[in-house]
Order: sequence, then structure tokens, then C-alpha cells
Amino acid sequence: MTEIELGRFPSVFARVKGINSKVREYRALIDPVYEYCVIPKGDAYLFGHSEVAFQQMTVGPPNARTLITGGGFNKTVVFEVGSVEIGGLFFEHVEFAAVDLPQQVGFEAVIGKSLLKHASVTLDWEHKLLRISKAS
Amino acid sequence: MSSGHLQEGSESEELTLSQIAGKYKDRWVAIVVTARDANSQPTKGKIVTQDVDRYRLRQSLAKHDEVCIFYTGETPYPLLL
Repeated sequence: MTEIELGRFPSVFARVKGINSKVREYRALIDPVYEYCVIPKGDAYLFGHSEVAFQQMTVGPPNARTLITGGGFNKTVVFEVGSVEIGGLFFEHVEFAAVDLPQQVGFEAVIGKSLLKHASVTLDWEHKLLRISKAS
Repeated sequence: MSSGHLQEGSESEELTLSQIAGKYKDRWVAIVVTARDANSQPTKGKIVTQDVDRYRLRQSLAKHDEVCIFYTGETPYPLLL
């Protein structure tokens, strides 16, 4: 189990490894409401998912999805990355959506349900601790 | 403070994350992580580049195979995503 200090928002540094072995590490928001984890479109492209550039076409790539967000409908692509590491815990076969969150949010990655369904997460606001472990 | 990308071959100093947040306030920074705590969270790093605009930051990172990117500030607004 990993224990991380809980700030104003539940967040954690997450290392995301693409299928091409490129690595980006983010301070990622933890939000179980998100069906998928999120990384920026530019990083999806960097990880080898060039179809992100064609997601707005009338006939999009087969992994194109329409999502509903606080800002309305959002067309994007969904893909698996190589692996995700959080606090020394490794997760594989995690689906990500390529979405550019507004810069003002201060986060550009989200750990959503596609990873959290493989984990147990406790938000202990009283002791300002976030605990995460892999589901058994 | 303007955007700044470290020149190839030059070496930036190792800073703690709180030092980075103090030196590059309310900016997007990209670092090479040099130290981690027991929970594998970054504690120290060397600045690769920093900018107020994360899209501009990204343009200078394409050749880097591994970097850690984060915003040093905090949104003044309540979040409702």
C-alpha cells in the first residue's frame, strides 16, 4: 500500500509509459467519475497514437469515442498505454482518453475508473492521506 | 519571467519540488526526476524547461523520452469538471 499526502485535491504523481516506451510523468487528479484515465492529446500522439489527429473527422478511427464532460460533448480517442506506475504500484491494460483539460485546472492528467477499478483507494481527509493499493 | 528551455549539453541544478515551485511560481515545468521518496513520488529534479503555457512547453519536449510535467501553482477556482 502507498500513502501519499493529500492536498486540496486528491492527486498523485503517475508515470505513464507508452507502447513505444516513451514516458511522461504527471501530477494527476484522482477522480473515479471519469470513465477513463486522461492524458493530453499531444502526449497520446507522442506515445504513438497518431489517430488522435483524426478524431474530429466524420468517419473517425475505430477507437474514437464521444464523451460528456462539464464543458459539453467531447470527441476523442481511447487507447491502452504500456503501463502506469503510481507509488511503486504497476498497472497494465489501462485505457486512456486523449483530452486537453483547461490549463487553468492545473492538472493535465486524470486517474479515472479504467485504472481505479484495479485498485483500492482511500481518501482520508481527516489525516490528509491518500492510500492506494492494488486490488487483490 | 519568460519561458526557458535548457540548452542542449547544459546542466541545470538539482532542486527540490518545493524549491522549483518557489522559483517558477504558477508555471508549467518539465523536470528530469533525480530523487524519489519511499512512495516513489518525485522529491528532486532538474529543470528541462518551464513556461506559463503548457502547449509551448510541450513543443520543446518532443525529443525527451522521459520527463515529469506539472503545474507549480494551484487553481484559484473551485473545480467542477
